[in-house]
Amino acid sequence: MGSAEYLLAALTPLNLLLALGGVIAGTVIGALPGLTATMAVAVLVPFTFSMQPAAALIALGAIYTGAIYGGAYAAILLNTPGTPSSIATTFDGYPMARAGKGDLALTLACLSSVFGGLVGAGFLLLLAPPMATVALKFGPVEYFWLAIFGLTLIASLGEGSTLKGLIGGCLGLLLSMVGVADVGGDIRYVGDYKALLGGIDVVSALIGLYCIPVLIELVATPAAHLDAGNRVAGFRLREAGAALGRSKFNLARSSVIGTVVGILPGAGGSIASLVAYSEAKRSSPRSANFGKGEPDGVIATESANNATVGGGFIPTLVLGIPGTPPDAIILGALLVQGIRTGPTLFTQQAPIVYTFIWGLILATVIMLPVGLLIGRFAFRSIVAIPKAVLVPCVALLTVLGSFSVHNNVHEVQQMVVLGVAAWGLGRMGFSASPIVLGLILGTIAERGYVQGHLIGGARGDVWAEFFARPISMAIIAFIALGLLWPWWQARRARRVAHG
Amino acid sequence: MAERNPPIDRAGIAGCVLAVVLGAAAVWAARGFSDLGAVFPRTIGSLLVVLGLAYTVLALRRRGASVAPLQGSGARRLGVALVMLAWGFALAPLGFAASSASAMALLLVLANHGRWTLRHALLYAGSAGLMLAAFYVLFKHALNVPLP
Repeated sequence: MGSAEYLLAALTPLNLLLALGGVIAGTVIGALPGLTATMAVAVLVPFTFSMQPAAALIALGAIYTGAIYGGAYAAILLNTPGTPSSIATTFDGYPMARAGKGDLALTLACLSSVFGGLVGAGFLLLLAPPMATVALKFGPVEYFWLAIFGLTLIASLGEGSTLKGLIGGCLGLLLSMVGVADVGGDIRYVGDYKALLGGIDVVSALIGLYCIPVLIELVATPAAHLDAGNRVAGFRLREAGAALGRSKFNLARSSVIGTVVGILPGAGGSIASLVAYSEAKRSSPRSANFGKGEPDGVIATESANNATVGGGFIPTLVLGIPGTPPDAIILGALLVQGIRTGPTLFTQQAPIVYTFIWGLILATVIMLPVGLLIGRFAFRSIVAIPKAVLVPCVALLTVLGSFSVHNNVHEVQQMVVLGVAAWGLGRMGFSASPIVLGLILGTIAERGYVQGHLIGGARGDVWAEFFARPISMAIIAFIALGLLWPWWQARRARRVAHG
Repeated sequence: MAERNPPIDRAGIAGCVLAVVLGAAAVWAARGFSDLGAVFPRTIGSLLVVLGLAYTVLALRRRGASVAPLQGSGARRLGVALVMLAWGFALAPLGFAASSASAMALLLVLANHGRWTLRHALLYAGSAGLMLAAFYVLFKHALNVPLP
């Protein structure tokens, strides 16, 4: 069968219905603060067990891509990212919403997500097996430096001082060490509270660190949560199209960055959008506006994070190594369907794989009208709902979201404690993003650090292991650039100010 | 034009003191870990101490970044924080329905700045109650999540 036949196989009424339903369900679940893309895939995966393999994959891929995009709603309208990959969307999306441009931000997010998703799916379709070898070149030390790179990016990109961002990142790294150590098995920083043996749950921490401070601030003043702006009929497509036209290189570059970084299992999903945002800020003629409601920022992050959907499927399907947590759930569903992942998947089970990839492309296209409609409804609802109803409802979702991950009450307690602590830290100038990213990347960083130490020690040269490998040296160079760039820009700005 | 004499970032210094204390405590507690298990805690703990001290020095030299002062009601903020903490710890003993209904009612009161009328009370309470009932049924019965 050729490509045309696989495309036709994806175009059956059932597959189209599954793609449409999956995108709608995923977008709605991903949009609700407290409910994540991982949860969207996890709760809906049992429905796919009775389906044919290609149909099941199309449904799951549609849910996943819808949920990643849906995370932008909460990020833009409530400053609470629905998934780690939406963290960077809050930097400019929420300021746009506060300035009365929330509907424009949502339209930009939709268009960028569709474009990024198509680029990611395109790489999956055409280049999956050779691109999977990229993931194999990353060893423990490369993952360690990649985690550090992600942390330095967030420290330098977030609001406030870079030093405070680095301190926040270290706090997050410290939180990631609570519980049983990945290497060595030590029980660390648990004390008498045995509920912490499993460590701090990332999803609960994400929900608490972002949502609780927002709730605390929402009740403080009687002012409306968001400025409705001048009510503009339609979806502001012309404005969004003009913004995308001005930012076409940013759009294309961010989509490629999202795909390539998304290939790296475990780390890619969290930092792909950050890397894209960093590059967009560095190269934009409007870099001073980033963090204050610059549309280019939303374009960069949303195209990158939806590109990670296709990128993340590359190691999942070719190597059997899940790229992101939702990929891990989808991998489990594949095993239930009797599909064996590996390089031969693309030859021996080509009809299933290529039909799925075309289905993913179709689901991404379907996301355009669905996303615009749901986004419009979401914006109008959030603007219209009085705070007296919004606050308890969002609070309910945070409790449900953190409980439902592992059906564990202690994770709700972690969520509220970390959330209140995050509000306090926010008052001292420490933002939540570095802390969350430190928690997410901490395990990756530590495992890479310790394994690198062991391998280097066995080879008799730990320094060479960490500092002499080509990919590591390239990442270290990026780390140095990421740390020095803001300082150099600030120094240049002071020189210009002094004439 | 840059401020000639910017204020000292006292809140930031307080946060850095906390970071230094946490970092030192992490390093001290790592004495009881195995060699492998102690590598990262010692490194990150030490880094926290160094970074915390570095920012403190910068802040005392008035080169820190202060946070804007709080606007609005501190009492309402404290109320929400306490309600959320109580909700998290009451979930198991009281059960999901009772703890959630109580917490949502309190949050509704804290979040409303307008005049209370019967119509508003019924509308807001009804909306929140409907949301609670809908998600309870969805999670407990449709998704089989064992809510407490």
